[in-house]
Amino acid sequence: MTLEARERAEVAVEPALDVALVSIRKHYGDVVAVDGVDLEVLRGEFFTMLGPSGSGKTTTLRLIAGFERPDAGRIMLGGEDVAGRPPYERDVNTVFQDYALFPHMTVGENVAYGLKVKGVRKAERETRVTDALRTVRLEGYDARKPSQLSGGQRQRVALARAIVNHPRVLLLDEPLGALDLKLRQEMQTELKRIQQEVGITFVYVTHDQEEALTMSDRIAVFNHGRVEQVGTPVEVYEHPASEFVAGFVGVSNVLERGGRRFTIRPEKITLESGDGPRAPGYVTEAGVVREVIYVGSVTRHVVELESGGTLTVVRQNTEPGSAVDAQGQRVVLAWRPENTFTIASDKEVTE
Amino acid sequence: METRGARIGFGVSTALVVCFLWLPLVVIAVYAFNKSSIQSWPVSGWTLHWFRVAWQASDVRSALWLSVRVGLLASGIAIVLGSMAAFGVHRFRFFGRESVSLLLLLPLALPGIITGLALSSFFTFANQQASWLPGLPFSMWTIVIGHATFCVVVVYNNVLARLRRTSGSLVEASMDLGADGWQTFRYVTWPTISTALVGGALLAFALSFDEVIVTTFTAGAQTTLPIFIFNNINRGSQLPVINVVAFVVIALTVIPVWASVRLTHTSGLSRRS
Repeated sequence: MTLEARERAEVAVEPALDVALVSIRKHYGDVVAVDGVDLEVLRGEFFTMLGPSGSGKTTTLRLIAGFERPDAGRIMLGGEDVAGRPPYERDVNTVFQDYALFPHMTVGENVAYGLKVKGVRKAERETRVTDALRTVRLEGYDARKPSQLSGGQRQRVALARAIVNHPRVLLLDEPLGALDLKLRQEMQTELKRIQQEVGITFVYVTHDQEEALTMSDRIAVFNHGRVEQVGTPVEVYEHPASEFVAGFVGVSNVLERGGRRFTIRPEKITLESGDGPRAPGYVTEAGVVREVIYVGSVTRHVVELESGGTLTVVRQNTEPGSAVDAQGQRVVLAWRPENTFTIASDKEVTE
Repeated sequence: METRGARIGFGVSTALVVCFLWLPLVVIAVYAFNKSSIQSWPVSGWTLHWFRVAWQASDVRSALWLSVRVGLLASGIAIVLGSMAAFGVHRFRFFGRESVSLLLLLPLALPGIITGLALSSFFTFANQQASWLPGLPFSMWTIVIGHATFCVVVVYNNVLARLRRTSGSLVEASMDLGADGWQTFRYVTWPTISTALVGGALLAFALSFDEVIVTTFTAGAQTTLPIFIFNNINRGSQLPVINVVAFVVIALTVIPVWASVRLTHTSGLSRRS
């Protein structure tokens, strides 16, 4: 937690911690899925758990929802330990990866389900369902069956079905995973808008770093059942705490010079073809272009350095064609030392 | 794309197969309305006379009634045991799970004559060992037990297939939204499997209703409808009545099977939803 965030948390009148995980462990047989995770999620926060598959992020989410019981540790929801309670006695709702809409119910019945089983009166149910469907921009879809909707629409129904209950925390398990790229980007903006509109704390699981950086207030990077780093998107991207984070959130650009391991983001490096004059305050290294990858708006160059190691450099394609777009060409890379960040190797982190 | 010729070829061969399967049944149906008591072609005239004769024959009526009762009881047992077994095998991982599944399925594949013989021997054995085994004299109940052996499988298979096709996260979603175990069963699980269960039960009833072999071995003095037909097929004087009975059996079998197919397939729940 940043200092600022901590101060905000302390001045708030109500308990500002919505979720607190304390030394959570969970194993399946010999496999340790979650290996001592501590996390704190603030009220109203968009919190993302980012990591590769098998890193423990989904298991952590399921532990918060109550579908799994932890082997050890405490799960605090709004100050209460809920580790021993079933899912239906926890003030959280989940948006599932496969949406899990009830196929025999209409959209309206799906959204009303949570209210119905809790005994909310019919008139209130109808108002709240209409409101929730309006929030996800699906007004007038009440009577349709889930099978009559597109993937994006089902996603919105799943979201409406969860937010209609006004839970303390909304858990989202890779909800955009099944959508195509264009729709996914649309829904990212949409999710963020909805979160701000309803003011519910979101705990979001994804393996997509771009998704995490775009939407989150804070990100927890998972690896091998542990949290490697927690921070704002800027902190995690610009100051990765470990080699794993540097590589998973962005391109792995790690060099070792004089016993110091450091990372630098590809867009912070300039690439020159000749031996022209250098701007003061830059570190320079010579190398050979090994790969040129054209990605539309930018071109990525993989450069092998003469002093050892490789770096990826990204250049904006401001002008068509470039003198250095050739493999095997000798180039000079330059960067400012304040843009490099010392990191611990993976080994040091896990030990 | 298939050519025009191939399409016609497929059409003709499909028609031939359907004729092969249904023509004998149509012949029986036509004879049921035959005016003459002698089977000859073409039929000399139409009448409902034999329906009245069949309805008034007490042996036909008691056989029909017995078959209906046996079918209902066997299907009832199948609903309870079959769905419980399907839930158990689907929900829980336990030692010998695959073996249990195989043991449940086997009676359907086993020749009826083996099932019948085994049951007959067992009932006789149980009756001889009345000192320590509850004896069960050959009666309607032994027929019901015999039929239940394959009826259970039909329901089990149907329900298990539906459970496997249903997304596992539906139950989790229901619990997540605040429904306890009973509410989840009532609003989510039951509507999901009910059509498969009813479809399986209807199919089980149809199987039981026209069963001959196992019935022969497990019946005492009782005569089910198929056994009645079997016993009277060679008596010329009874033939018109038999035709009527066969026609009714066809109708009674086709209706539940047709309903079963509709329930199982048209309202099937898919994984993607």
